[in-house]
Amino acid sequence: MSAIKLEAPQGTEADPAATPGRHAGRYRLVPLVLLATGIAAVIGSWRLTLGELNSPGPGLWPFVVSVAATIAAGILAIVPDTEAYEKWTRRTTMLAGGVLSLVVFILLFEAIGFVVPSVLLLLLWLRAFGEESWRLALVLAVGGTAVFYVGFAVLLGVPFPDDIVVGTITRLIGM
Amino acid sequence: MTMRSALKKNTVVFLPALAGLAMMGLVGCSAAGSQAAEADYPSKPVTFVVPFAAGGPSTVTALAFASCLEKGLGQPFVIENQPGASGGLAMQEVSSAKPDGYTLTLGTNGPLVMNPMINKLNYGIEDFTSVGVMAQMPTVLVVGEDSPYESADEFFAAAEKHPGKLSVAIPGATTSAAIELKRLSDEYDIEVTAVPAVGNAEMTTSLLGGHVDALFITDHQDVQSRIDEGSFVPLAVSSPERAGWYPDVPTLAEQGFPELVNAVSVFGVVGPKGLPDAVVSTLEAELQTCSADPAVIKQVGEMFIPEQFSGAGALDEIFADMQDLYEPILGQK
Amino acid sequence: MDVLNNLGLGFSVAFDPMNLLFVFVGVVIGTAIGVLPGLGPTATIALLLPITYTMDATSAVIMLAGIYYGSMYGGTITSVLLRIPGEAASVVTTFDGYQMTKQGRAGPALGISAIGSFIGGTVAIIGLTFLAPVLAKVAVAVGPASYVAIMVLGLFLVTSLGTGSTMKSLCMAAIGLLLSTVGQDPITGTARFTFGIPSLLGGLDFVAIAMGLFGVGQLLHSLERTEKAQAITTKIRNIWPSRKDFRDSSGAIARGSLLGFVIGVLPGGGGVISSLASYALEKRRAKDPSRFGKGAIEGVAGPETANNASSTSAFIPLLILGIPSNVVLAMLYGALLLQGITPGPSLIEDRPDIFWGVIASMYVGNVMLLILNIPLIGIFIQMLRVRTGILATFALMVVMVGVYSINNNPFDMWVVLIFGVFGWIMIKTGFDAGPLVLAFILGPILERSFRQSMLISGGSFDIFITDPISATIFGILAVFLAYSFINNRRRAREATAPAAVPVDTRVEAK
Repeated sequence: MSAIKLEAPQGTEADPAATPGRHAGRYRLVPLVLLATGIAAVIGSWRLTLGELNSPGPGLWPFVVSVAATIAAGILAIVPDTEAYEKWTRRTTMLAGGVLSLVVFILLFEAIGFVVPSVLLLLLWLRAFGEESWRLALVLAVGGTAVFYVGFAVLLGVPFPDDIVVGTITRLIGM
Repeated sequence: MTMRSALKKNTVVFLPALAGLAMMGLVGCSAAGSQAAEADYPSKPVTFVVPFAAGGPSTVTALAFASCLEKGLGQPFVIENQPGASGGLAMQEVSSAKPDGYTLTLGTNGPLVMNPMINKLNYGIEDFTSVGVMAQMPTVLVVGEDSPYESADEFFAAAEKHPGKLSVAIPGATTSAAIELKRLSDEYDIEVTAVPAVGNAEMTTSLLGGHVDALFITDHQDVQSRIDEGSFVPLAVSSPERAGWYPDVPTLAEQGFPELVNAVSVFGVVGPKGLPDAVVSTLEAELQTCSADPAVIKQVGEMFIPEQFSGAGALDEIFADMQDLYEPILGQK
Repeated sequence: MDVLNNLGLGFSVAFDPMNLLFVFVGVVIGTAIGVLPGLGPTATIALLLPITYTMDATSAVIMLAGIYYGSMYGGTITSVLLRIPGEAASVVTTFDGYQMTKQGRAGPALGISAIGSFIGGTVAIIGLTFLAPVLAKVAVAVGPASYVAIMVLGLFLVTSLGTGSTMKSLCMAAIGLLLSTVGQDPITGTARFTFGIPSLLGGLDFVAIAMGLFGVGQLLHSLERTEKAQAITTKIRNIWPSRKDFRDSSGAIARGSLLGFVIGVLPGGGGVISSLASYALEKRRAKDPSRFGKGAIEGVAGPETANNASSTSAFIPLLILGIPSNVVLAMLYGALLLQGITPGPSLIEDRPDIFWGVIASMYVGNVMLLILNIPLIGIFIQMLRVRTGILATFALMVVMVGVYSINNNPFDMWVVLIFGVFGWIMIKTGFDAGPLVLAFILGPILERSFRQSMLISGGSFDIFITDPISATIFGILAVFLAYSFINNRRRAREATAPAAVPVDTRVEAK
């Protein structure tokens, strides 16, 4: 489901001053995705068995809800609602970078703990998206990571995955 | 400017955290010390995973035992609540942890035995090593104070006369209580409508408000205090023997349902498969000591800690019996 | 008066220096964790539970209660400043609160929330002191059938309060309901839409979804638009609400207090429903409803007041009946059990010191929170002076770590990321996240109570008529719908020319 939506922005980049008539396709994109989701959910809940009113099955409620979603999305796909629609811009590609950085962050977080990925993510965002100087970005990234680690893992006792940096340090100190 | 305001933001967060730390320190001091265990185990803190959200009877029981085990074994027992997937996540995590005794969990009917039967999960009871029983809670059939049914006889007679008319709230569709009611209809042809609710609080509300006719509820302090005060009237208990604290309340078996003796929630201590025998016996012995500890008994409720301590072997048997009992009803494996 | 005597006893407990300290510690922790998205009162109290049971029972409950209502104050701050709602009840606050921030009116928004919260909280405590036993009866009278009606009413409010078009709101609400069905069926335990992922068995986490759709979505959106890192400083006009702000919101605060107090007694969705109801009421009463969603101060004042009033009156079922009405109160219940005290109808006689001590401590705690929050607003406003790039980066990290700490499960980080992307697409395409998130909360309660009602009634819909509460609500809804239908048709016939101003054109401040 996510993959479909993720691709949506890249295909339709920078399209200036659209008139609903000629470019109605892009206003229909989201409703159509929702429509597909709704139909898939209708089928899915049908397969969960609907049961009867005096003993409703697990699928009954999702069925009702997904039918409602399908109808609403269907109406929007036929009569697209163009209001409050923002244009896609070149900077939209920046966003793909931002999302990708978070994907890497989560993967690293699970693998090697909090400290390294946190420094890297903060550094990247501060430098690339915040356009801070290298020095300030580095100071904030390291300092911020330390604050987060102490705050969450030490003081609040949130169990982070095993951390290579903290693990090494504690071993060196011999704790 | 930037830095200063960032710092300000952080100090606000830190104050309470420091207060928390100070308190944790205090607790740590009072708990440390005491005599050390004979063997090497435990030489570092033990994580005790509770497969439910904090606040319920499971957490209360685990905390009570943890602080006692901590005193006895000289290492902190850290409670980690890991709800999610009706306890399935916690069980999955513990079943794949290193069997060194530093990761233990609370094994109970739902997450340990029933969950893997209903959903595809990567564990079963065979992936765990039993240590011993902490507490056992029977399920009790109660009605409100102005219910027309004054005894179990009257209640079941009415249920037999009007199949499906009486509604009985139960703690969830995949609980031993639900299965017992299903067997009541399958094996004895007495049909009541089971209304699954979430937790004792919702069940209590629905009986007090007259939305259901009776509750088949896990016995706990809240039920006790309602019975004492008179707003709940117990009709029958699900344990094989009468409960010492309600000497006048018959068992379901006495009511003519000899098979219905299984709606008992068991809170046991279990670890991953392959826990070393030495570790099991250390824990088992300490658990036995703790189940006689007055502080633990007061917190968990004296009636819920069995007088006769059940160790590793007994707990194994309990879970195996449950498995055999539920498999034909729930199983799809 | 008996009550006054008892209250005197309560205050003597609450003013014990040790207990005063614990009220203070509680409200400070509460405010702080309210500010941290993700780490809500539930997680905090769970973390503190083992500590409390070495404390005196009264002090423990006083502190934990302080954390709970303190977090209601704190939750507002990120909703208003960053559009990151930390808990369900403050979702509604983001609608107008964040718009006010964009217009440089973050100060008045936070100021009026603090004052509203104080008034709402205090009114509810006074109600709790004098009316608790009466209201406790109401809490019990609300059965499955009444819940169905209340949740339907809630959904009706949800779809009517979006800023976008009604059809878009309806569509989002339906998607929200659909998302809430992910996980185990509440009645039979069957897995639904879990695609074989064990972490989905427990359903999607509300906080992860809300922080993804609102917080991360907004951050991604601002990322896309940052031309050059710049501060919002220039736009901060005043820190304190003006006389006009007070005049505009006084009615909303008064109505919010009452609504919140009454609705808060309902177990389950009390908090959200009360802020929703207050928002819908204010929007409906307004001379110009189109201001809502664009920074109307009543849209912040009303819901914030209602939300605090309801978090206080939620104590009524717990203290009087021993029935915890939400997860946080269930945790408090657990804390009392650990102390060997069973909250229930006998609490008030067995342990009047606890019962009245906690109530009195709430009066004290609310005053403390007001005093604490006024200077804090000034400090938090300073946060906006931080360059957007830095602020956004740190907010993102707080969200990621915060969401992990809910269940200590990296899975929730994925949820937040995926919903962040959805949230960004929704901002781009003019869909409101509000109806989705709110429907997500109401959905499971509606489904469960509907199915319970059907089980109890044997599949007959009569139960909704025989239950007085549900009959009343459905009756009012039917009359209202019929009225607005007739009204619309008459208006349509009268105004053949398109005289109507397009009410929902949203002006997105760039």
